[in-house]
Amino acid sequence: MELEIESLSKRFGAQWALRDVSLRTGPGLVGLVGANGAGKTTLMRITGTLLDPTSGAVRWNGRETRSHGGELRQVLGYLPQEFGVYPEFSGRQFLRYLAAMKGLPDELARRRADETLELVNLEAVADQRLTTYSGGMRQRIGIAQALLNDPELLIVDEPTAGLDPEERVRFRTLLASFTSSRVTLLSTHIIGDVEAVARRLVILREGRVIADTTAEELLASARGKVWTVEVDMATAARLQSAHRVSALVSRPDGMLLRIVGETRPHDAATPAEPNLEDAYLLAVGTPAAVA
Amino acid sequence: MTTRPAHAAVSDRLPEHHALTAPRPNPLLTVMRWELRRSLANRSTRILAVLLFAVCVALLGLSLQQTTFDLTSGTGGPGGPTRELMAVVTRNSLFGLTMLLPFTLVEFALFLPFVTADGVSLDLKRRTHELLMTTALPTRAYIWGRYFADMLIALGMACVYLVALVAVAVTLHLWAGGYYPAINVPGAVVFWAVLVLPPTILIGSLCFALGVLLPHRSTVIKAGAVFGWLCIGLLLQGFTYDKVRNSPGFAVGNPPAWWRAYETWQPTNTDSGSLFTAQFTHHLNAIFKNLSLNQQAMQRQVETLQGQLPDLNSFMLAHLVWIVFGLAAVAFSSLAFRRFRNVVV
Repeated sequence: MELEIESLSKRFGAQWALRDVSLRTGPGLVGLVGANGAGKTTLMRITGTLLDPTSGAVRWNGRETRSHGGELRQVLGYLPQEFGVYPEFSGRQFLRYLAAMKGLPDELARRRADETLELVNLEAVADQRLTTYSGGMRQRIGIAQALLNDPELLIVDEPTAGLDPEERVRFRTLLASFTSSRVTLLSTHIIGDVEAVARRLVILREGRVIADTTAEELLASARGKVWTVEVDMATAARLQSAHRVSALVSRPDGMLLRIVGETRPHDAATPAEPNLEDAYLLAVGTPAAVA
Repeated sequence: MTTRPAHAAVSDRLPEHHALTAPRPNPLLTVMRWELRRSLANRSTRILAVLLFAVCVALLGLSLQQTTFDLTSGTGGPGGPTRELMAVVTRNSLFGLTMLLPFTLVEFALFLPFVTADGVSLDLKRRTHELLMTTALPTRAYIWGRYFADMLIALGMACVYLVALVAVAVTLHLWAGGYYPAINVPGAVVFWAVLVLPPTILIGSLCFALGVLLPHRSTVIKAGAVFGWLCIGLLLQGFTYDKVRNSPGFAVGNPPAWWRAYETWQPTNTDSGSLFTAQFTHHLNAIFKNLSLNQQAMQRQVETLQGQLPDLNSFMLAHLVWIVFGLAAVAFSSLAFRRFRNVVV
């Protein structure tokens, strides 16, 4: 079970969405992190056989997906960033429908639909029309459909978008439990989504890989480069415009700022233990630092 | 959301990917079955069927209530004896239906783009496209399965049209049997099959194919199909009829050859009524010229004549060609459809 992405590029008109992206991975979760427009979704779509690359190749178990897309789709589970449903169906019918489209025999389709509904805890509303579902419930239906065929390659694009904080935490737990036996690509612009579950982090910026690392390495690279400082409002505004601020807390007599950077941003600033978000900001801000 | 032990279900992986090794159900039939199920569960399909039935009943009811039209024979021939006899042709006879069906067929066909044009584009509108295109569903099965399912719905609509026709005719007969004779149901079904089914398949197929080729333009396709059908079916028909009605031979069932060809090949069938009427008129003239017949004998012959199917052979060939054209359009769209394209950027 191996996914290999080799020198992948994609251009839309004059705009390059991806430039020379390479990645090779076996079972486990790879977190693709980057700001909106970094190229994460384009990379997901090409890997999921929805888009044709301008150059480069994606290989699944050594076979190029451009010419053997059908083979990949047999073992693919895909959750797009945005997806719709058929409002005339209930959750259970929708999953059975997609299971049938994935080629599962009727009996197996029924069983897998029930299992995945249970997995995402939607059995209680499984026979209600999808129009009655909240955004979070729909997202869970999306996760369930991606798992219907017990995929070897699971691609989830911004899966926590639209989920409330509690659901996000539960989704991460869910994800952690089923990624060890399959190749999982998860894209997000929220570093916390992958902090605990990704064995590998790939950071994209403007279509290029600027870091291919682990959470531990990323944190280590940020040590000594994170600062906190409590200042008045005017100074806070000046620091915000001059430095990269990862957090900002309002205090009765001013602002508490968390700043990432190579040098001490202010005389009163004290070093702080970095978290992954700080490290991510540092990596994004200084492309050569981690890559 | 209470997370249950996920591994209990998911790590229970299908033994050796059972899903892949077990015999896969026929994907074409699977798509058809589920698409039909989805369409029939959709409220708008049911509303469309009820609306169609109501429109057909209203149109056919209004038309059938005119009940009869009179044909007056004037002469036995140049220089021969003259007489005044009147034959009554009922509207719900096969002769009457030659005038009725083509007219109401135009209105019926206007429903069809709304049944088939969204066959594939609906997935883009609803953003289910990516979910489907990342499954192992073969492209051909997806396109043809959707097509056959949509055509079954369209043919179901054509059946609604037939049911409305028979229901109105039977109701009128039960209400005033002396005035409205019983409809020849087998003959009406044959006539319906020949007149209604080819345009149904043609416009349904063309709209579906265009919807596949131009998935972001389905509204334009529907509007264009409706407008085009009305132009060909009503405006062009009126224009050509004006050109031909004063031509020599038209009144005696012998219109010009170009008009016969036009009517035979005109895909909406709105002119076919005139073609068949011309055939009936030709036979009626032969009856009128028989001076040995009295009023009652002539009326009996007219009643026999109006219950007979006109000659449909030349008409059938033309419409078989149109059906093949529609299927070819779908085949082309199926070949042109690509999963690898920037449709979801």
